[in-house]
Amino acid sequence: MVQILENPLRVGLQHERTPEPLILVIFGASGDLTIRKLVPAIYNLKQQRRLPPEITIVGVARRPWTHDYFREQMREGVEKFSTGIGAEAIWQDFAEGLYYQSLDMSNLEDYRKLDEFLNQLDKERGTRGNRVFYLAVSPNYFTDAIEKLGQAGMIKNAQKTRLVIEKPFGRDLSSCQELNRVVQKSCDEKQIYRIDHYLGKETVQNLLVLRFANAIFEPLWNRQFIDHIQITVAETVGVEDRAGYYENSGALRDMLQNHLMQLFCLTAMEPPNSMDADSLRNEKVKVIQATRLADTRKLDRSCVRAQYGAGWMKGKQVQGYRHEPNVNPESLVPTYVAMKFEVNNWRWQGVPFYLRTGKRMPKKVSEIAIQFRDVPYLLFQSAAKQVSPNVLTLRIQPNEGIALRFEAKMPGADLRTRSVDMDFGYGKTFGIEGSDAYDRLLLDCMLGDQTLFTRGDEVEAAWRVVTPALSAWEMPNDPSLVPQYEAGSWGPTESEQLIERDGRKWRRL
Amino acid sequence: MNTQATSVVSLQAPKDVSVSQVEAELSKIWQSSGENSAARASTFNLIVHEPETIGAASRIASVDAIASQSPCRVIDLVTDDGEDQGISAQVAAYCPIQKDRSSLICGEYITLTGAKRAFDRVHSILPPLLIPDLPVFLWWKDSPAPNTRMFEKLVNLSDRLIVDSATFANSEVDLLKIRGMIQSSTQIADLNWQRLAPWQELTAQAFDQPDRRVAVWEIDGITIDYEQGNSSQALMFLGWIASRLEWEPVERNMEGGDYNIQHVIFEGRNDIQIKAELAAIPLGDVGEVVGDLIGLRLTASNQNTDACNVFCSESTGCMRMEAGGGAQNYRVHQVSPLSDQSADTLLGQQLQRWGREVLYEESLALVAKILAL
Repeated sequence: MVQILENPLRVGLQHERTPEPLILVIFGASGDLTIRKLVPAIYNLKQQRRLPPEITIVGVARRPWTHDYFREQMREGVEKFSTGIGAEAIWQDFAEGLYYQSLDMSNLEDYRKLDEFLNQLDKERGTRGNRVFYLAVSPNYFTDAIEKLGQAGMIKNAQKTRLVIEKPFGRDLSSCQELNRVVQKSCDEKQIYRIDHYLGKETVQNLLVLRFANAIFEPLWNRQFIDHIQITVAETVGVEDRAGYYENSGALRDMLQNHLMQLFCLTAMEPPNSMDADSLRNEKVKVIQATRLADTRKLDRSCVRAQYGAGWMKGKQVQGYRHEPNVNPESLVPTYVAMKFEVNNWRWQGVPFYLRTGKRMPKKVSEIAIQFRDVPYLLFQSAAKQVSPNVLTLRIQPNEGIALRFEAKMPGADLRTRSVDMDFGYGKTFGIEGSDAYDRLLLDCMLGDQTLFTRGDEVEAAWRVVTPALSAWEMPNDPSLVPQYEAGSWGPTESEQLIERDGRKWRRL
Repeated sequence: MNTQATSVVSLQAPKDVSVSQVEAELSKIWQSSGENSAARASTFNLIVHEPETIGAASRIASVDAIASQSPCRVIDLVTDDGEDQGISAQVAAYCPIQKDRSSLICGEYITLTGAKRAFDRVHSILPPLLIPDLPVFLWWKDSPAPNTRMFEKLVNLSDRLIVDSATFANSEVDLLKIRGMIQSSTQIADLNWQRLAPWQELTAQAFDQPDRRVAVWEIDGITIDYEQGNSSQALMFLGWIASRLEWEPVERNMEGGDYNIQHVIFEGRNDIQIKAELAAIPLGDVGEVVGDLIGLRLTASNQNTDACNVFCSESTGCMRMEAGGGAQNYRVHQVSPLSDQSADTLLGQQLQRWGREVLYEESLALVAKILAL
């Protein structure tokens, strides 16, 4: 075995990590994700000099674009969707590393041509055979792309090639398992980066810091002190121009099974042994495996779906989901989902987790609220006639921060209490801008760090939790049975009942 | 880290108050702007001492760069040569605004002015003005003066001393003073050390490839060119590479001349002898920082090894390095800093860090050995 010597000059240096020279191959290069997110994020990294000079991007899509046209399109994207081009010299240097290759995703010969082109670029740009293949395409193409990449021998080198797969990873448990089989047949799990951009958000990562870098929270983080937990991800937008995608996914697949499930995992999991990829992901898998819908026999007691109807948003009338362009007028696809999870382990037994997400909500807000138990006996008079429970709120967006609600004595002769908030705001405390979620995740992937990416068994476990609801809701059904809520409201009355049945209330946000 | 131009919202223009009124006046400022001073986010205290030659506008500008990144309390000490008539105070509060930020990060500024002798009593004045239970940084914008009462008292009040060896009046003497303070357990950060980061990174990168790692032990020549006027960077870089490659300095000769050349001989692993040459290059325009590295050449007598590299500053280039002949045998690298290298920006980064910098301390220990020869 060859002994790899340590580089003595590297010891002790604390510089930002820089990936090795590589080619990032983006499938779906003419799509929105590439133009709005991926290339602006990579350019941002380039501006921050976090990338090696050899970095090369090859856009791949069906359209017959030229290299120059691709460069123009990407420039427009960067100008429109990031902080701008900045120094022209940096753009010129970046643009020299942008290439385009037309490819039919079902044609193996096209992959072989692509491979030849990448090998040629290796020689020209010194990228040493390192590749990241990013599947920014419709999930329908995942299987084809992975199989063809495998057949063309393009992902056989586990050390030098990586594969990034956008969510949703499958559309239910069986398709997820099937996709995992395809992946495992073509490459190793350590080459796979299933991306959920929520994990790239600073405030989501701060949840780990809050829990595991502070001694004061962990002793309270269990069934003895916590009454219940609410996780909310509310959007104000409707389906917009994504009806084609949304009609095949809906709120459960688009948001709850991935984004909310990640927030749930980070809130509920046990402390990992370390921050390496597998330690963290092992704990996430363990907690999902202990999780199930609260009542799978009477589904309406543990999950609610609904669609937004017509209503008013910011003073403007908006139409209901079924009247949006390209939406089936008899669609059963939910735009709102609320679920009640139970976690069967020592830490959480008896503590319900309520998750809700929806479109056309009154506010764009994402938060995790940990509501603590009431005091065992009330000694004081409260202005609100009763003492409010302590709530620890982790705001993911907007106004990222953490607030703790507790009772304080009101000034005056009487011993009366009122709830007050102790509020930490990221924006008020740190003057340093956090990095964008895609910047962070792309860089991690190029560096080979899987910590913030989901593992195959984790995704399968997440599908398993929601499968009872998914199966019931996928059955042919009378469209009139899907509850409706007015656009601009906080969801249907069924959702209120889901939590009020337990003597609790959704937080007013 | 983003460095953006700032404009400033002034909550309170500088106002003269007595030292005992400072805290009350700051509370008034925050109350008048609708904030509760006690509930405001604040992350550290920063005591700044700078030579009196620096004007007030320049002082404010440099602390704006810091306060725009972290809410803090800045206590600016301004000394003059006049009679000791006590210390007067001014308080102000500003919120530097950065583009693309919706929230304001606000800082408190306390300026204490007085004769140098008056500041000998600084240890009795400052503690009540510091926000309790927050770290205290001392930014000493001058040569270190460990034998003066004011410096000693300020260092004792602080958790960390920050200096910029690019401003040292006598690099060699002042670096030894810093080394002495580190030995007596003072935590020190040198902004000029941070300026070496891109040079260290590229030098390390040149030997990152597994097949080149063995070559690093074959280096037996190093030439360092730096801007005339301050040798701190050159000495610290030499100290760094020598400490990493286990070179022991055995001899030092001053050749002098236009480039004030000095030679240092080291003994390395396997009794290899390493010759180092430091040359101070006179430049027309040295820019904001004096003594920046210009170029660096690593050589190896063993022709079969892949250790020869030239590193050139992006801004000045390094004609002298490449002009030495045999340039085709060298791998040439251009060094460009990842971020602004001004003291203000580097200070902002330093204020986010904690603890001892072991690499810096080990490198400085080697510098001390070189200078002792």
